[in-house]
Order: sequence, then C-alpha cells, then structure tokens
Amino acid sequence: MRDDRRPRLPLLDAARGHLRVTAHWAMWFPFLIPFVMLEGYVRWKLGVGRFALPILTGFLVGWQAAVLGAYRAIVFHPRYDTAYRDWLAQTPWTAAKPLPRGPIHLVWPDGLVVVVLILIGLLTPDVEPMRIVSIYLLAYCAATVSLTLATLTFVPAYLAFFCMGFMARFWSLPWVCGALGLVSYLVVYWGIRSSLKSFPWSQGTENGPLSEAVALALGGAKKDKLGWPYERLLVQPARAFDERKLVTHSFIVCLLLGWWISCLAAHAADPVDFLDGMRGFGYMIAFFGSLFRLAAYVSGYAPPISLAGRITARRLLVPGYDAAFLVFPLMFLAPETVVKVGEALGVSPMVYAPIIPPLVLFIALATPPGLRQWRLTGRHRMVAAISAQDKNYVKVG
Amino acid sequence: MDPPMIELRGVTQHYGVRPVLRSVNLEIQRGELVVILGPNGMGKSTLLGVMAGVLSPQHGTVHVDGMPRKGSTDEEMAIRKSCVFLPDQPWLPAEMTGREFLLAVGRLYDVDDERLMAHADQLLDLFDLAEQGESPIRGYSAGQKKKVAVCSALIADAPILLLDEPFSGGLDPAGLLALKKLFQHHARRKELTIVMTSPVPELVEEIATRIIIIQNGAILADGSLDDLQRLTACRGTLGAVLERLIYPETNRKLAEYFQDFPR
Repeated sequence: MRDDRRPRLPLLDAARGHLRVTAHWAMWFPFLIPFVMLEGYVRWKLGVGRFALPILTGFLVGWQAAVLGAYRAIVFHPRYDTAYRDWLAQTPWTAAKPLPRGPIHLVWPDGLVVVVLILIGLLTPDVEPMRIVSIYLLAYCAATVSLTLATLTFVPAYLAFFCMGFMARFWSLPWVCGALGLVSYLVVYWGIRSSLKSFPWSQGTENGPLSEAVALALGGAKKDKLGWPYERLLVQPARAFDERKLVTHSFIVCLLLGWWISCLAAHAADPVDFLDGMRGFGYMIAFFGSLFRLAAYVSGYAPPISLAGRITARRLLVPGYDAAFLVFPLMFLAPETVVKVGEALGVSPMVYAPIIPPLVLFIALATPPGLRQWRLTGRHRMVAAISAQDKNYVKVG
Repeated sequence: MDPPMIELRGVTQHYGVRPVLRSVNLEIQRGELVVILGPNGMGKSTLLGVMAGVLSPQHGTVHVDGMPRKGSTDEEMAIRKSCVFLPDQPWLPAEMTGREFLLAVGRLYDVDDERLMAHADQLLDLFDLAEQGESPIRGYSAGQKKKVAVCSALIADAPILLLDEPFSGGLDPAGLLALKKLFQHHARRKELTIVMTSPVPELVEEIATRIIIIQNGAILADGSLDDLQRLTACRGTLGAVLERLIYPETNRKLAEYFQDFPR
C-alpha cells in the first residue's frame, strides 16, 4: 500500500524520471562485465602497464560513451519510432510541450552518466576525461543530426555536421575538441527545436495528414502499400526533391563529406596511403551507389522494349530509358579521373584525394534523372514486380 | 470545342520484335463509354496501358485532358490523379480489409474525407461486401477480390476510368448488373470518360456508346453499334457484327470442321 506520509523529494523524483531516459540499466552490463574482467586480470596478475590490455579497456569506455550517446539521441525520438510518431500525431501535442516519452535533448542527469564513465575511465591510465565527453557528444550529435535530416530540417543539420568536422580536426586536443562538442550540441539543439516545430512530419506519401475519422478507419494499415497498380502510379517518394533542390542538397552533402575528409586528413601520416584509402572509399561509394540506383530505378520499371526488339526496330538506344544508367560508368570513372587530373596539375595527394569520395557521391546522388522524375516521366514499362510468394499481396483474376 | 479527354497520335508499341500497336490514332471525348474489343493478343490491353501511362510507346504521343503523358512531373502527376487504371490482374494488399483499401485508394486520389467514408460504405453495400469489407482481403473469394478492385477504381472519383476487362474475374450476376448500371450512369450523368476492354461483346453491348475493334495492332472499326451494323450490313447483335468483322475465318473453319462429321 502506498505510504502517503512518505516525504516527497521533488529533485529525486525528477532525477528518477530523467535517469530513466538517459541509459537503461541493462545497457551497462555488456560494458561492465568485460571491463571488470579485463581490468581485474591486468591488475591482479600482470600489474598495470605491463600488458597492452589497458588500451582495450580504454577502448571499451570510449565505445560505451558512443553507445550511450547514440542511444540517448535515438530511442526517444519520435522520428525513430513509427508507432510513437503516429500516436503523437493524433494527440494535441505541440513542440511547446514536453515529449511524452521523455526529452530528446540532453538533460542534467545525462551529465551524471558521463561523469560515471569518466570515473570508470580514470581506472585506466590512457583515457583522457575530456575524450569521453567528446565521444559522447559526437555520437549523440551524429545520431540526432541524422534524425533531424530525416525530418527534412536541413539548415541546422548541415551546420551541426560542419561543426562536428571541427571536432574531428582538433581530436588530438581534447579540451578544444570538448569545447567544439558543446558548440556542436548547441547547433543540434537548435535543430531539435526546429524539427519538433514542424511536426507532424511527412507521412511518406504525397498525402497530407489524415483526418481523425479516416485515421481511425484505417487503423494501423500501411497506407502506402497498395499493390499494383496504385502503389506504382500514385505513391511517389515524398522526399524526392525537384531537380534543382536535389542538386543543391547533393552539393551541400558532398561539400560536407569533403570537409570531414579534409579534417580527418590532418591526422593522416602518409599521403600515398591516404590517397589509396580515398580511392578505395570512392570505389566503395560507386559500388553501393550502383546497387542503390539499380534497386530504386529498375525494380518495377522494366525496359520499354527487349534487346531483340531494339535490334529489329533499329533503335539500339532508348534515351528516355537508358539515360538512367549513364550514372554507372560516370561513378566508376571519377576516382581515376581525379587522380590523373591531380597528377597532371602536380598537386599533393593530400589536396585532391579528399575530392574523390564526395565527387563520386555527388554523381550518385545528383545525376539526372532524379527518382521522382524517373518514375513519373521515364520511358519505362511499369510492371507489378510482386512475387507470387509475397504474402503481403493477393492477385486478382 | 473542348480538347478530347484522351488523344493518341501515331502510337506504335513494341515489346519485342513484333509491333503490338501500329500507328494508332484515336480521340476520346468527355462522357464517352468506349469499349475496346478484339481477339486475344491483338493489342487491347496494350492500348489501354499506353493510355494509362504504364507503357511508353516507341513512337507517337498520348495526351490526356490536353496534357502530354510523361511531359513533365507536375503534368504527369496531374494526369495520374485524373485517371484510374485498373489492369485485368491487379494485386491487392492482403492484410488490409476491403474498407481500409478503399479508403487508402481514395486518399491517394485526394477524395474529401467525408465523401470518402460515405462512398466506401455505399460501394461495399452495393456489391454485397458490407460484412466482408471489415475482414482482410486475403480471405476473399475470387469474385469478392474483383469487386473490391472495381470499387477501388470507382471510389477515386476520377474523371477518367481505364479498365482492363472489368467484367471478368468471377463477378456474380448481381455484381455484373451493378457494374453495368454504374458505368452507364457515370458516363451519362457524371460525364465520366470510361474506356474498357472486354472479350465478351454481350456484356458491353447495351452500355457502350462507342466500340473500337482492334486487330493486329490497328483499329479495324470505330463507332457506335449502329455504325458498325451499317459497316457490316448486319442488323444483328454486337456478337454477330463481330463475327462478320473479325471472325469470318472462324466461321469458315467451323463449317469445314462440321462437314467432316457424318450426319
């Protein structure tokens, strides 16, 4: 039975409420168990400094800081949890009110979590306390920025990504890096407020928000999974920008990627190794970019005419369809082209290598036609692209 | 004079080596109920697919309500919202109930929510799906699936309906009757432009305001039943007219076949 005479401790109650959102207690076990085992083994058997394991325990502390920072950003964010977001959209909640599940910005008990990590880190000789703060903030900011971007709140997200680049640049100076982490957090906080003000965010199709009656009638049905032909004809990617916006955003994203690479380049020792790394990174982007474009552009959008038909009709090229595939050779030619141009100009690899990955990414993202343009105006043949084994759909007739 | 709702100019469509449509020219006006008839594999569904924008013809142009198909993203989206295309074998979401599906399709076509809720109930009731409409489509019979698919085309309240064999797929007599009356009403009173294909002339004879007969990818005849009767000098049913127009070989072969049987 509840004891009403028990004295109320508002601060403790508030702390309990906040601690609930900072880190679930179960998250400490996968960290603490290996940490205690490793530290204990080193201290009791070998003595501190006689074995390389302290580096590993330092890594564990850093890893835990990153996990807790990302967890803090993601788990209570309505953009991450679809059911929470849909429920929230049906309530009278506004950005002026606290989020029902808990705040997504940092609160003072988050500082307790970081202090605990710093105290644990002090047990290992190589861990700099400010480094733990930086890692926590970097992970939190990176996860929050990605969710802010997903709510189409671009300016603060891009600016935060830019500030975080400075953290990478001054990583070797822990106090400077920590201070830059705080600056980044302030920008991220601005992004959180801006994105919450624009709630409810797009539902994934071109429809606006549902009226209460239709929302109730539709229940939990997936409103954009309507089979053939409705899904193919009318459910268009809501986040597909028009061509000009697509190019602008792609350009900014690629500039930021280049900025980050140049920040990381400050820590690179060998220019040749760095160039090889960037070239490999460029090819990796080209590979995954090709897979993504193939999946997005080809599935459900078949060629308008077969190869035999092209030959017979003497139309080997169908520009309205084939243009979508020009991007593949461009992506794979870009890394070597940058290297050749850089070498011809006699520039250091440290200057031109950071250009390679952003350039390949830019080609992957911005080469026309954009996804929306392709789906609406491409000269393709739309097909159901639903397997008979797919349990989500039934065929009529 | 208003521009035609659907206009095809010199449309040629290949899938492979053989052209399925050969330089087809066609104009369809608002409020017409057009039925495309013809033997299997002669291009009926392809012609409808070209109008619906799911196919891209190798030659020629398609205009819908004065706008070119696949001209620009905005125009294409406007066209897609103004016409409903129902293929002969659509795929429906298995886990949605019939009612949910209709509501979701109506939302795609920006139907007003109040009208949408009321119309969904009316359609489900009209096609005897009021009770079944509350359970997942997965459990429907073939005919019930077809009814829900047809209802989805009707709930969109779009000015153009492009329907590939709407009367096939196991519809019961009550469903066939309801559908025929609905199409007739919508074309006459609501001035909807309805284009459909059908392999069975008897089903569409009484409702079609215009009949297009297609053979080997080209338009063989185009007009009202009276026009086709004059063309073939046959005062019989649409079936009889079709026999004269596109099945003379079948009649000759049948005569030869029966001659071989002893009396």
